[in-house]
Amino acid sequence: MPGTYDDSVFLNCPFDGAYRVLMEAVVFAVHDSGFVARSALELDDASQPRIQKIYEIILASRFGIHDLSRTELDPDLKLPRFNMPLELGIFLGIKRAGRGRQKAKRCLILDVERYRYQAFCSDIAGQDIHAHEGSPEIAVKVVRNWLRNQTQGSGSIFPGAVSMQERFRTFVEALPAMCRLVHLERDDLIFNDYTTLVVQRLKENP
Amino acid sequence: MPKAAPKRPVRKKREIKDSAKQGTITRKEAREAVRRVSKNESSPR
Repeated sequence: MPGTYDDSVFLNCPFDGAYRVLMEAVVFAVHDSGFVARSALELDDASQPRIQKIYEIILASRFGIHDLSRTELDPDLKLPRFNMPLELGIFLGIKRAGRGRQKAKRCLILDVERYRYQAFCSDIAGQDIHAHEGSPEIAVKVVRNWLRNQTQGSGSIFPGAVSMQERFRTFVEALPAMCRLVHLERDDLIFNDYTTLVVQRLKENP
Repeated sequence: MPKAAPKRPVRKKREIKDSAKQGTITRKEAREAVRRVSKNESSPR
């Protein structure tokens, strides 16, 4: 069964190759916590402007994970990449101005270090920023613990953080073999194929 | 008459939800690949 508004987590993360392992860790932790990862990467429709896709996924997701860790200067252009702060702003704007269920939005803001954002996005001061230090294991733990807090009182049982980190590690080890069996390249996995493999692995090993 | 013991809150394992969109592989293909790899992981060396 696919996710509903209350199960959906919009991922506002970089898409570059260097970030891939962190993105994979975040997606794994979201699904292993019983939620559904949503990303602009899931839609391949050139007829729809990218920002429109982002609006639609944010509107369909109660939760958002925003990783600002790649807000840094491009070495050639000497300008910062600002898509992640922009999408965080859209998420916060919809929560503030939206109606009904949009008011119930919750978000997790990640960065490499906890207070680095103050140098480029000080208007979000006061929000709780979590640091993953560029480590996939820490990212799994931070995402898992945050989603755990969002479901307090629901009676839902999650794997613990150490257990989830171990489940992610063994999944990553098994991933190349799984890819070979379905004739895909491990290093070129698209978002939808990665999430399909994650979900099937978790269903087989709940 | 003795009082009935208070009911414990029901706790259940979280449900793994399907991904939002299907990719180039089907769920069935992915499930079969996962099962074959899991079998090798658990078999003795």
